[in-house]
Amino acid sequence: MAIRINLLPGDSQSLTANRKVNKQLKSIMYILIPLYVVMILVFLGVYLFNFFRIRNLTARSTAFKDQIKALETTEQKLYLVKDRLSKLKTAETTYKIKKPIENANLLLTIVPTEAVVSEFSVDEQKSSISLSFPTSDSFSSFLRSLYTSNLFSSVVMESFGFNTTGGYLLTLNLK
Amino acid sequence: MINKIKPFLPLLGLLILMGVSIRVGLSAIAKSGSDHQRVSQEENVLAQKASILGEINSTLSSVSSAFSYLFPSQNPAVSAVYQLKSLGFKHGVLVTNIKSGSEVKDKSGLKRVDINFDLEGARPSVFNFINELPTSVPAIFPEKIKINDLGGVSRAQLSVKSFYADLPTKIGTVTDKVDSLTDDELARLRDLLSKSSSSFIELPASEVVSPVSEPFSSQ
Repeated sequence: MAIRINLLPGDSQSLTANRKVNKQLKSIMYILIPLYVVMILVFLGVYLFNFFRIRNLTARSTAFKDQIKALETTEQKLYLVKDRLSKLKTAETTYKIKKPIENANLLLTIVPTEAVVSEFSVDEQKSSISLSFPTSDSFSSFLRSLYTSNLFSSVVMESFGFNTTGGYLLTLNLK
Repeated sequence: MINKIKPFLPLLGLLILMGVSIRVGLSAIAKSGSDHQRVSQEENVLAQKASILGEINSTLSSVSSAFSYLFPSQNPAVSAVYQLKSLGFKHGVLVTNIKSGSEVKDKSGLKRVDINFDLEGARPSVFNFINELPTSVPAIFPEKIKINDLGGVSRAQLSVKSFYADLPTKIGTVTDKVDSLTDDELARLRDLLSKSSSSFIELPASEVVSPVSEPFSSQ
């Protein structure tokens, strides 16, 4: 029967284990070092790509800034024109009697020719009209036309009277 | 113990180096990416601004520097009175008894001057006059109207207002965005430029060539 005798010194077994570890470490290093170099090259490439893109964009921006500076007068005019037009628009919002004036103009077209408009007033709150009609027919014709015209949401009779010279006198408040 | 760790030191060093490189590299790339985005946005704004100013240049070249034409920057009472008289002549109505107030701060934030006057003429002419007021230069807005008809002639008492505002003192920087004039603004601008305005001339102060000699001097 063969007997296995280990003639190697006692601590040589750990040396073999160390060699195995070293060998494995070396293989890992052989993989990691190229990976590291590739990674650095990729980072450098991306950074340089962005760098040159930024440089080109900056050069174009500078050219545009020069163009804009040459058109400085135009920019000032544009700014001032826009400012003035916006102020004008703001002022127009305060013009509240535009519609009442339009309605007043339309109202006066339905006043019978024989009637006389003695007074007509328009302000921001209301409009009022004072008329005199020679006959009841022209008076009722006017009221009928006023009712069907739908020019005003509210028509309030402020006064109504009759005299032999003026005829039928009517004052209306209109909104 | 140290002998056990020794073989791992190069690998550890490499891993630390890789970690630091990844961190520094990624932050540098992120920063250059955000720089690129910022510069790209700025370039877009500048390109758009240069294009807008180039296009609008020919339109605005016909606009004089008198922007008060579009909306007054000083009390427009004198110009407004001139316009009232001009419109009265145009529509065949008589404008009389003109009274103008002092500067008032309107609730819209603008400054305002109130003017009262009387009108006399045919009713259609009176209404045509009133309707043209808001589109005149400077714009005049009726506030109160009272019309009396007598013998075919309308007599009206009007209260009108005309606005003004200071010119802006600051404009944006070179890199600030601008918007071109909209179609409405262009149409309004052309309409206003086609209207006649009051023409006033400013007499320059005379230059003193030589001092006036003292007439009562004994010399």
